[in-house]
Amino acid sequence: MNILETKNLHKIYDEKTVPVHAINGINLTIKKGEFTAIVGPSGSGKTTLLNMIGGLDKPTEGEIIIEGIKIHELSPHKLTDFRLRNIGFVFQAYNLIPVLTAEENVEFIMNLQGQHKAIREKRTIELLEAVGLGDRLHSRPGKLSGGQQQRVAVARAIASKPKFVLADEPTANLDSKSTENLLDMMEKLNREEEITFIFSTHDARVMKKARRVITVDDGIIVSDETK
Amino acid sequence: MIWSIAWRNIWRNKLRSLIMLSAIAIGLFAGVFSTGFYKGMADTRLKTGIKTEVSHIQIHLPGYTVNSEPGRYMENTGSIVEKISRLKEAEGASRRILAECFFKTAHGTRGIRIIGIEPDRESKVTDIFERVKEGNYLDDDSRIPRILVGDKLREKLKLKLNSKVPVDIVDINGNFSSRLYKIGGFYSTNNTGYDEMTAFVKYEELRSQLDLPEDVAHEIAIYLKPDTDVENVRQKLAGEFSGLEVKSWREINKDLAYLTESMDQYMLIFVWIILLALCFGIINTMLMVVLERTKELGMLMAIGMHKSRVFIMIILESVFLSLTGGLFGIAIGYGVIKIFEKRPIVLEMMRGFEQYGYSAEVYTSLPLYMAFNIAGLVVVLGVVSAIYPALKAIRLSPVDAIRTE
Amino acid sequence: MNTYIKLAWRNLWRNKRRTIITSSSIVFSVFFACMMRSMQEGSYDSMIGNLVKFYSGYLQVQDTAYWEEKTLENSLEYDSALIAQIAGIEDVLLITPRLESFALSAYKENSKPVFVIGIEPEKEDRIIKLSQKIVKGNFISALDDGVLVAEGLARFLKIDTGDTLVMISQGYHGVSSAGKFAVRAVFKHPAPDFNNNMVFLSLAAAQNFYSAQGRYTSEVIMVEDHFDVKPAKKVIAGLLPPNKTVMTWNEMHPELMSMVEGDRAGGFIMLWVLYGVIGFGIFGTVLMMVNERRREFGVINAIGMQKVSINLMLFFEIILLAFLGALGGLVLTTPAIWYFYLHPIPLTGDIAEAMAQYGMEPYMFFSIRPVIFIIQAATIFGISTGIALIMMISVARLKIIKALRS
Ligand SMILES: Nc1ncnc2c1ncn2[C@@H]1O[C@H](COP(=O)(O)OP(=O)(O)OP(=O)(O)O)[C@@H](O)[C@H]1O
Ligand SMILES: [Mg+2]
Repeated sequence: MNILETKNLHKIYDEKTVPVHAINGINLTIKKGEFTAIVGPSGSGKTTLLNMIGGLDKPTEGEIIIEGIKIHELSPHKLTDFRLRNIGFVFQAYNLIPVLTAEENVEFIMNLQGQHKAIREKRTIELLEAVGLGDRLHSRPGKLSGGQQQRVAVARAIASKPKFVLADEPTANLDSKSTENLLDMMEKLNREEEITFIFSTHDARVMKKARRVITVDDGIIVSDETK
Repeated sequence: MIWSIAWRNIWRNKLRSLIMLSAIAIGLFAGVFSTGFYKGMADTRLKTGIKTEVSHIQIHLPGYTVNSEPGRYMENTGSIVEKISRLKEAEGASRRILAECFFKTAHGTRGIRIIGIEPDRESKVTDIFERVKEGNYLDDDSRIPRILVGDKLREKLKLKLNSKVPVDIVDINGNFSSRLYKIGGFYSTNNTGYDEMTAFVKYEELRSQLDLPEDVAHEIAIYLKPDTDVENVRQKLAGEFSGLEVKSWREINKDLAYLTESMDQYMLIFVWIILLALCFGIINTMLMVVLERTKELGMLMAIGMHKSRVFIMIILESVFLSLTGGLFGIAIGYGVIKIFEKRPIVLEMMRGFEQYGYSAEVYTSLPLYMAFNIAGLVVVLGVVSAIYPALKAIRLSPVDAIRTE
Repeated sequence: MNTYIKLAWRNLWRNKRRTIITSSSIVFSVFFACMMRSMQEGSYDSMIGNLVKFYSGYLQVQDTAYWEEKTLENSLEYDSALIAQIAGIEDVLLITPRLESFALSAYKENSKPVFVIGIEPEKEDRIIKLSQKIVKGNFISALDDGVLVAEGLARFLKIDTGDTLVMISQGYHGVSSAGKFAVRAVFKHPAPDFNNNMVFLSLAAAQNFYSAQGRYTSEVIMVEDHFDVKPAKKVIAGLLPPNKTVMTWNEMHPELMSMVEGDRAGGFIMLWVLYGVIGFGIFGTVLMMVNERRREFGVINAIGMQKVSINLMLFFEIILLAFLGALGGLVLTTPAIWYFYLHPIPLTGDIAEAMAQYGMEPYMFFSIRPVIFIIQAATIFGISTGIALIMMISVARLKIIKALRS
């Protein structure tokens, strides 16, 4: 079952002097339960691709269809709502709201979705325990290590029960130990809860954990391997 | 070098700097302009107050200013006035007889203060004669004595030129005396309160009506040449006429002296308040500057910049910021004051002040030194507001500062 | 909603120093503005109060021609039916007739023009509380033929209770009038002008003196406070015959009112400048705060928080900041002003003399009218709403991608 499909995706950044062709025709389908890494050299278009898939940016040409909805045609307001209900995000850094505790950060997104307090609280604790932070519920992001912060971000990303989670270089700021922890945890969530992950990375060790590796260069897919 | 770094640093965050600059410019424009406005108002009040009402120096019999009984007169005033008029510092001297009288007209009665003057001498002292709007300045020699009244009193009592009015007085013997005067003219000063309360007749008329002996007067008023040291002349006169009380306008008209002199201080307080208000904004801005540049400042200290220079650099940046905005505001304020120095600003809402002698036509005025003083305060503002942020900056340890994200 | 307020509150304390400095600037401006406005209104209240409560009353019924031309020719005939009707109006506390004019007063060789007011002592006392202002002697009764002399005047004439004051004037129909009056008491009027030239006597004695039997110049009407003036005026005006008119206290003192307005306007301009400067400071601070948080706004927008909600949170932040400052300012100001309201600051020296020459009491009076404080709070609220709106535009224009990259 395809949850995501892109058709002939193009993205041209209109720099004043020279237009930058960041994505040059990408056709991609993602199925439920995938654990996919997008790799490629710097400037190859990974972030651009993920941003478009995530509905943060609009393609210059082509279509992005998530469960039958052409998301690039949605109004900004609808799109925000769509992201809230369908897509989980983990960014490279500064993911969390600094004034909220780990628990509140996770709860926040369910609050935005309008879920009941009881449900929110229960799920928050479950999730934070699942990412191994059951004992740091009340710490603010500033008091957590980079790896812990990213784990809270993952917990938040799946708290909203999204169709898939997008993570743009989630491990770029982490040391190798934390990187491994984070990936193991993501993999476990993928395996046990069938959560779809799409992440970009530079890191060969991260790449190895992925079951499908899509290599991009100059805005096109140069290889797509599934283990 | 740090001067130019400090200056360039201001323009790194243009929007933020521009906001602070406009705040400072607007604040100082307002401060300078209102200072010029109120100072102009006070200056006009002072000038006309001295010229039309009090003169520079007045001489009375001791105690007359406290209790102005008609019996407290000075003798041989003719020679005194002559003598004073010949002083090189004096523009003119005039003797007067004063009385509180009762004014009966067809359209109402009123108590007014009546001043007996010798028109020739008086015209060298006060400028009432220039302020006669209709009729003339008591210089018509007809059988019936003339009286010059204020325009405001005319309005209140519906007086007509050349109509006759009885003026009732109790003379120095305690006898009631009523005499008919013909309204010879109307005058108007900036002070409607004064105009409503004061009328002029000839010295001789009032003297005889009060049954005073010849050559006496209640008051001698002296107007001095420009730029004369009033106090100096006052002391000289006080020494010469030891039996008399010689007072300067400052002592006679306390409100004139007080309010005009305190106006500068009031306005300076206002400027201070604006500066204080600006201070909060600048502290915040400079604090942001320091926090934003933690890394950079750490680097500078790491490569060997002394803390004292970092401190000075932050202070300089704040002073430049304040001074740029401040000078801009002051210059515009000063320019606007120059424009309205010659053409008055007429404010209908100020009409109410006219009964206290403040003209509603305001000629703004601000001495250049005051503009410079204010500019000096702006520098102080810049320095003071930057102290706390600058201290924060030098408390950074270079190692920690570089590590910060 | 709660979440946003909670978020706003916490965000405010993220940079404690900045919040404290910004709210201190508001505290400062509110404090200063309240003090200044309170002092201004306090002095107007005292000036107006002296005139209203110790001279003109809130309303007066006069002959239509009297205001323009204050002569006895324009006086009124006693009309007990009308007086009863006016007295019957709900808002009216009291109505009392007066005969006002001028005279030349003399004692021995001293003389001075005076302002003469013939009153019904008992009623008038309830308006102007004359009997409480007496410093020497006894208050008069309705049929008394003696006078009450203001303290300053008594000093000038060197007259004392028991002495005889001579007054000369022009009576009704131009008749010359002269009379001798025993001084029953000396009273002190708070307004220096009046203190130097006021004489009270019974209405009967005044009518006698001015040969104006049965006539009076005005009916002074007292109401509870100045809020009742307008409605009372309407009702009274409806009762009056065409030759009579009713005037309110502010119509009777146009010069004072115009001076008060001018002074008030000057004060407002100063406050606008102050608030303008403070407003810019707040704006600058908020702008820095928003700029610092562009990435954060980008992230929460990306994960699904609507911009409207981000704006709402930001709005609460700014309003909370303003609220803190305004509250602090009011907490600081209220006790101070309350204290000074009860204990006006006495002024001495030059300034006191200067004020006396302007006919003011030498005190720094404060007003505790709530509107003074409400206006300051409202101004701060207005300014911060304005700033919040500008910031909202900036958030509305936020581009997620750009924000995420910053
Ligand atoms: N907002 C933008 N405006 C203009 N050009 C952009 C913009 N964002 C990205 N680009 C350009 O598009 C191309 C692809 O950029 P992108 O950020 O997607 O690469 P990336 O694969 O994520 O690189 P990295 O591994 O370094 O993160 C680059 O050439 C980049 O310079
Ligand atoms: Mg990238």
